[in-house]
Amino acid sequence: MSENEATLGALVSELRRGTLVLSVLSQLTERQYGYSLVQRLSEQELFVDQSTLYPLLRRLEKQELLDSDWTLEEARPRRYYVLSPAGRKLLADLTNEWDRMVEVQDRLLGRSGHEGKKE
Amino acid sequence: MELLERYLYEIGRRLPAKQREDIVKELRSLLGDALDARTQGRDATEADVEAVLREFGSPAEVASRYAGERYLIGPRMFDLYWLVLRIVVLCMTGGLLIALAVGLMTDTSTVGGAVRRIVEFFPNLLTAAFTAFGYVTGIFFLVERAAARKELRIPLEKSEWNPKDLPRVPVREDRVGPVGPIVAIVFTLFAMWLFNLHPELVAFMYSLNEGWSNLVQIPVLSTAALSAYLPLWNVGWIAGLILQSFLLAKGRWQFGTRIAHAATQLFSIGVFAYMMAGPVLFNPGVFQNLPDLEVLNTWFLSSYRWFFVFLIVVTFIDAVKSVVLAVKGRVPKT
Repeated sequence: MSENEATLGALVSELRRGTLVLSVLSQLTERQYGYSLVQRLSEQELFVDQSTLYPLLRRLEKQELLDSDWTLEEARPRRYYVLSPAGRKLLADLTNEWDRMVEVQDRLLGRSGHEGKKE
Repeated sequence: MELLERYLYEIGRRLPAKQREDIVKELRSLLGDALDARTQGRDATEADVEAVLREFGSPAEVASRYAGERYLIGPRMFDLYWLVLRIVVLCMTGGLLIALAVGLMTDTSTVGGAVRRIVEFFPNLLTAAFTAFGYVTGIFFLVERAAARKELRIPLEKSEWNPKDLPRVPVREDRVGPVGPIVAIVFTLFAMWLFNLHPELVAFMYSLNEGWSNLVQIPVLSTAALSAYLPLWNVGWIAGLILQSFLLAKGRWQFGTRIAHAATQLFSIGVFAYMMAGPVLFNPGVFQNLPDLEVLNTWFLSSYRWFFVFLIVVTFIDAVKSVVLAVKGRVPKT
């Protein structure tokens, strides 16, 4: 039983890892700093490890999907991230892909459509 | 706050120097936010800091997330690395074995010396193997780093390939493992070194009195004959080296290599025929100076030419076999 749970846990975290970039990009249409992003995500019930999220932000910036700048006016210096033009384009494309994937999976799972969510 | 700085220092220590300052600065800010969220305006205690850090993860873990996946030698190059490593270590072992054999044959001054050579061989082999391993790994590591830095994308597979181009699974007699070609290459290189640079090592060692002192070294090869034949041998050896390298790379006999092999065998037959008719390869005095070996001398002179006849026949059979297999491989199986 616990072995089953472990397998499930590994598969779920793999699914989450696959969708993490989309989740993060979706919240960065407005400027966010690291901690505010964590909070925003957890308000939507997506709980991301901070030590996973922060390096990801830097990687996305390095890939020029995000822009960043330091703001010094607040309680402490903070680095803000926001989608770059390339990031906005990617978010749109990735969202389309996501929609298609959901459609396909629903079909595979024998659901008529998004609303056909059975118990 | 001292705990926080200790934590940041431990992370920074594990980060690449170029990004260290920037990442630590950002982490300090982020940890400050996390701490504020926890304390909600009251003063932070040591316990608060501890809890935040515990949630964040150990310095090693956090730093490794920033570094991404790091390889000594990445998957792009591992196959090549492994192949090169095996070839280098095999060649080196072969070379050291040959050196041991040569050492034992040339330096027979004392029994103790021979024993010493054999005993020393194993630690030497081990040292040489580790050195070779170190060099190969080091060179590949540098290439890996250079490739990673320049974002050089060495593709795992060729960009386009056609499944129809996949070669047929070789039949049993077409398969070539790596050991055969490597051994052939090592021995060919050794022969080239020996006959071109140190023909005097091919000699009979003869002791005039009992014991191992007063060793007389009688060269076996006639210099005149050797200078006539050596260029031809070199051509054959180089052709052999090229052929064996191909076999090593492809792992199978193919039409081209079969035909090339047959051609080199025909060339060898020509050389053998020339050697049969030409000057005797061996030093004419080699057996005359050895009083005990007069029987051997007459036997040798009568069989010298027949030896070449034998060689020619064997080589010819091999060449024919190679052509037959080449043609057979071309005919599609029904």
